[in-house]
Amino acid sequence: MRKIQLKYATSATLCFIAAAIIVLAGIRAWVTGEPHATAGADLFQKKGCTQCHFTDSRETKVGPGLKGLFNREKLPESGRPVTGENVRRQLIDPYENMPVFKDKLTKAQQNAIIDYLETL
Amino acid sequence: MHPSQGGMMFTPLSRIVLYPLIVILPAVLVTAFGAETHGFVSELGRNAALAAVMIIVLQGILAARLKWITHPFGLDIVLRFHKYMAMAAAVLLLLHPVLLAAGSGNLGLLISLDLPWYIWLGKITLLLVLVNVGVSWYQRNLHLKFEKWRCLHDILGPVIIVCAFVHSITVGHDLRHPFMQGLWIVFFVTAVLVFVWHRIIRPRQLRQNLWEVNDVQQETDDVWTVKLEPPEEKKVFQYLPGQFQFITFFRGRDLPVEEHHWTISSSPAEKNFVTSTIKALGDFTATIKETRPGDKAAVHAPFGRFSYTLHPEEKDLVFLAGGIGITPLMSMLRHMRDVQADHSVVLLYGNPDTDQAVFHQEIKEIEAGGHPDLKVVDVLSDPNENWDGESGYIDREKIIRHCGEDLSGKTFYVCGPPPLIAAVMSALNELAVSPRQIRVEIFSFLD
Repeated sequence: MRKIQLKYATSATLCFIAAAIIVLAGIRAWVTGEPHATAGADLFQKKGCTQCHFTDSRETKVGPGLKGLFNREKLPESGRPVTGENVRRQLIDPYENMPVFKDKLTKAQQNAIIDYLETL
Repeated sequence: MHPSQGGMMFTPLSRIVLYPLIVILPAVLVTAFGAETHGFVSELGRNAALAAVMIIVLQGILAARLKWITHPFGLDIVLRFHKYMAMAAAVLLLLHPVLLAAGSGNLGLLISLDLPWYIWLGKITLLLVLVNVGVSWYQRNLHLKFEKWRCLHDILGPVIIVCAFVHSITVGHDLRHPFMQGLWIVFFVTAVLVFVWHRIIRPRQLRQNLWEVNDVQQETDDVWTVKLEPPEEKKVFQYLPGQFQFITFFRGRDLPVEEHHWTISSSPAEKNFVTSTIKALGDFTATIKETRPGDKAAVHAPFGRFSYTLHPEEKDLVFLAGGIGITPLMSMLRHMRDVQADHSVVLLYGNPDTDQAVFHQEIKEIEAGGHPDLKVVDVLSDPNENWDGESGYIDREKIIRHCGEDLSGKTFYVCGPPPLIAAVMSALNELAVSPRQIRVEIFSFLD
């Protein structure tokens, strides 16, 4: 009897956790507006980032190539850990010669670009 | 109220509900306060990791034999839940990188070797979790001895917790919020402290209050009863007939010092000692015959919910026992005898022959005494030629023959080796006995 109760309790617990994980992911994606890597790619083009950065290599154009950026341990130039927040920081308060995008990109647009960079 | 109940503020049901709520708490907070979003699939991957890490944090707490958790359910059930949730954590952690890679379209996370150290640490954590879960699930198939498995488990558990903490706090963008960082640290410090308490501090406390072996009685060729007396000026703990205890023997003479759990075979009516009746089944128990009066032992008890005293309304009982599985039932029979209980009990007791039937003589004496109203049926698989009783194994026909066709008002207590339990459960199922009428004790936590 206790083993049957255990099976019910375990099944209910697992179902609840799985449902919560899915619903919470959905809520978060919906509330904050689902960012799209494709939108990020468009922005990357439109905002002129491609003038200075390769996206298909690590070679330096004007700034460093961004291929595999999120697979690296540190951001080029600044040497900060590769995290979404540090990439955002580079956009709004650049480490060196990069233009400042603080007033040129909304938070959602920053997210989209970060998403795009994660795909490189 | 029993002091171990820990108050009635949380009913057993609320304690069950509390578990998944704690598991999803970080995902809820991240949803509410998280700074970034990376699309549904990536969020799914992140939530899977947050839930898995919380399950890992809670694993040590489930296994720490905390009375507040074990009392309502029984330690055996809590440890089985611990085992199932370990598998759930492994699945969630396997999904984590796959979903993140799918969400970002960056397969490098899965296949690239050029990754930051903290990503590698996450992969190592996943590998350790898979090893820990795999070894625990397949311990018997791997022929890994219990003590070696336990040693490995005690090492891998804390290592996994530390690796998971460092990986998550380093790479988890959402954990950069000071509140989340504080919460994360609280969770992990709690997990570490509970582990240290369970595996280091409490064992030391138990060793400061050692019990003494008073007598070692040989019951059959390979079964011994060890009688233990509490330290001076201490009393025997309160326990229920059918419960079990953890014992660590300190015998010297180069005999192993390992903690094992055994059923208490004595009656709680005996206030001066407890006994465990132990069969030589493995490397450690093969040394039990070397135990001598005067040897010391650390005792941690009582545990378990396999006791007729928890169901006072049930008076018509059937005990189905095989071999050494008689021990918890013997504790109950002795207790019924000592308190002059008016229960009706049919005992079907399976053994190869009567010489190997532990407590055979004393059970017959209890039967003759009238309390409880006991009917003993020996079922022998290898009887001598003069045997005219039941032979073979406990089965459907024997249950009907000795308990009657109408089993509706009876409660069945089953204890014995796994094949006996499987056969008896199958027979009871065929006889349409409700699971509510069946209580089973399984010795191994890993089965």
